[in-house]
Amino acid sequence: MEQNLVEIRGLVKRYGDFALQQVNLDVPAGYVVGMVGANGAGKTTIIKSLLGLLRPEAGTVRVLGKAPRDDGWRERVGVVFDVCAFPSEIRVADVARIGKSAYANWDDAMFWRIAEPLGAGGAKVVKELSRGMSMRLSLAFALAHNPDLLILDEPTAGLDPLARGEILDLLRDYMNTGERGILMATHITTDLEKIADWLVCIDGGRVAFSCPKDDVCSLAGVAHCRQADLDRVLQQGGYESGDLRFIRRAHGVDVLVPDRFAFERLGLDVPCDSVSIDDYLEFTLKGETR
Amino acid sequence: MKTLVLSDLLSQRSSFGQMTFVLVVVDIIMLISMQSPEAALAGVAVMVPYLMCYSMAMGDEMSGWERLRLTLPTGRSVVVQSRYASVILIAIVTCVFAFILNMLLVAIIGAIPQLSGWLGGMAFTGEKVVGMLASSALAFAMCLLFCSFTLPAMFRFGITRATRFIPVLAVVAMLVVFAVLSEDAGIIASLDAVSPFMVAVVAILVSFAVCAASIVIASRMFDKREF
Repeated sequence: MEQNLVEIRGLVKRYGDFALQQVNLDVPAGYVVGMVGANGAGKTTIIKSLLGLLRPEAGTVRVLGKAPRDDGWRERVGVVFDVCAFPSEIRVADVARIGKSAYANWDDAMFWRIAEPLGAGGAKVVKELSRGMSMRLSLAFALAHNPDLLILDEPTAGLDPLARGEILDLLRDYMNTGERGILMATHITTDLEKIADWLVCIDGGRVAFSCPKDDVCSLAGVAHCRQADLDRVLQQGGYESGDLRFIRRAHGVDVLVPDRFAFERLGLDVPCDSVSIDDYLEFTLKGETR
Repeated sequence: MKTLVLSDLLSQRSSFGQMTFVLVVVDIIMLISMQSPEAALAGVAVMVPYLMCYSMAMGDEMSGWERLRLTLPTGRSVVVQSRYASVILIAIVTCVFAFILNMLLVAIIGAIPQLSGWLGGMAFTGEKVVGMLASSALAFAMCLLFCSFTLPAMFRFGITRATRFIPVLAVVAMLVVFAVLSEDAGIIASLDAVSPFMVAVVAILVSFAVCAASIVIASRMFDKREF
């Protein structure tokens, strides 16, 4: 089994006035890598480059050790796009027939276990499925051939919280077996808080940051201080120039600290809370530094 | 390849009934208006497979299947080959169905003297059967030629963009056919001395040769396409 299921080095792809610039990204075996970023940041472009749907202008892309246009890796990869991409007139049972024909490792029982809520016998037509049902169908198709890697592009977009929870449960079950990996692009960061091991933020075609999720959700914090206290925090905290990012608010200044526990031990008498991925993104992409 | 042919046929399954109805109705109208089962057969046997080829391409693009199928364990060249295989399969089935339908219609008309009289003395004869067989084979060849001209564009640009200039390709194809079959070219006159079967066999061979070249071109063009 490869150490890195996905390896991207120096990926460059230009479209008109948008460009992916020198993107580096890995998905190690056993990891769920969440790719976050605003709409149009380049997440889907990266995924399309991985799948061979686009040709990059520079850089190397490897999926399970092979180039995207090579053969031999698609049998081991499951893909879910942001829309249910099956022909709209076919039935759920037809999707199973296509999967059984396409994949040597097709597990019909697993497909029907996941697709069971879509109706007995699989007689429903794809175009009649709700958004949640169609994403469940897409995931059933992607999982039923026991892939080593899942590539998901906004799999929970447009789903209600219950449906999102069900999708995340399926992904957790998937990761429980073997050294598998998931690359999941999403702007629903609460899903990544629940499932991701590593975060990569794409902004304007570049990697803004790449770090373990726990560095964000468990370690980092937001210190709420007054404008007058900002200098004190910067000096007495022993932070180097550029270490901290801050955002001026109506009530004062919020400062993103890399380790809130260490910050509290400084005894600066400044309240410090945990930070969500959304907040971390805001600080990283829009915060000031000094 | 069988996976993608299967998906093509499954995606069109819901329209088989509708297409069959259209085929039967149009065939009857053409047979009566042109008093020629050969022409009616040729008309529907070219129209229906080409419409379904168009419908498959449109469905692929609208649903996003054209992207997802590239993540299946098949190569881009197999995607191209399987689409041609689907079209050929549908064309064969349509030609056989249209042939049987017109045979039945001619047999029914021939058995009703008044009806036969209205339709220029149409009767179920051996010559009629041979004519319809040849027409069926020529229709298959024409359908294949039309698809061979337009599928590469569909693969390279997608159906939405290709629609802008497929009519131009179709007109060019028709002009080439008319030029080849014009009186000045003398081909039609020389065909009088040749049996219809020979004409049909040659037409099918030529269409398969053009189709083979079209597959190579379409594969190269599809290889460049980005999604």
